[in-house]
Amino acid sequence: MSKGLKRLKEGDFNVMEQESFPDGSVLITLYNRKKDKTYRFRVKDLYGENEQEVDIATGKPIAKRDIRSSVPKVPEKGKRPG
Amino acid sequence: MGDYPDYTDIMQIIGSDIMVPMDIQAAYIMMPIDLQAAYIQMPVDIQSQYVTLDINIKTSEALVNVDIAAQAVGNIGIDIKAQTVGNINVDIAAQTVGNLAVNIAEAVTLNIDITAQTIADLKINIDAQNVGVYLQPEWSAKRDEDKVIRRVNDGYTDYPVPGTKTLYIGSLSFHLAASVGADADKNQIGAVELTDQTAGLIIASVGGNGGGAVTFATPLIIPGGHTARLSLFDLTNHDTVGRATAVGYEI
Repeated sequence: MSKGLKRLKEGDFNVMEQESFPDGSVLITLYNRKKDKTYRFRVKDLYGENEQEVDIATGKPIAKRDIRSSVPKVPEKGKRPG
Repeated sequence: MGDYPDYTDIMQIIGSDIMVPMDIQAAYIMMPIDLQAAYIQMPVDIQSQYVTLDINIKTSEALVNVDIAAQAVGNIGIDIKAQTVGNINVDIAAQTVGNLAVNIAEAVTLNIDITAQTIADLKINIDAQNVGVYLQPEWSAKRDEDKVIRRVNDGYTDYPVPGTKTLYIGSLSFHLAASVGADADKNQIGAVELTDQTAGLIIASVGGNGGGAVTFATPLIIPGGHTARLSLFDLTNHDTVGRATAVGYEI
């Protein structure tokens, strides 16, 4: 859960603006005056069972970098790498 | 011999370290005390049906603990003049509290906790350099407890109020305009509505052509644990853009 979504659920903000998209997701902007921070995030099925944060621009699930895919495999014993 | 012996004697005690434990038991006690010293500690425990206690302490440092347990507490006048006033703890446990006049002529933090079944006159005169009285909405804004919930374009916005708080809404407003120029001269009828989704109640609504606003004399209340829904209705036959706003505070 991002900080913004956490702040929304705790009510820890002073101003909230919400805009809906045709795909059912909502773009939320929060401002917390005491911390002087603005949070912006997009969520599908907000408050629902399948709640999911998505990319703000595209509305698609946020891609997570697979760290393990960039680590070279250890070659088998006796075999050359590659 | 039915009379009590009469002791009238003046005590003058001069010393650098004086301790005079006194235990007086009588039907009538009159004990004017005048203490002048650099340091005075005087625990006083008076239990009686009627107490008149005049104490005049002039010192650079004084610790006075007064515990009065009586059936009737009359006027308690406390006049403290000092350069530094620390904590003033006054604990009055009585069935009837009459006049309680507190006059503090310094900039101090005053915490008053009065637990009584009957309070007659409570007069507090604070002669301080900075005293402010705020209405709750202004006070909430100063404490960053204000809340603005805004809906962009047609639809609704839900806000679950945290269980430990209560949401107070003081005003509702909205505006609506055609999203293309060709529709700009048409009626832009719309409405904004505040609903308590949990209770299933429409709390307030306001409509208008191009927009509308209302301020409530008494704040609308959404209790903690309930979901407040702010809805913007586009009642036109064309595409529009608009905003709906609910302004209040949450404490």
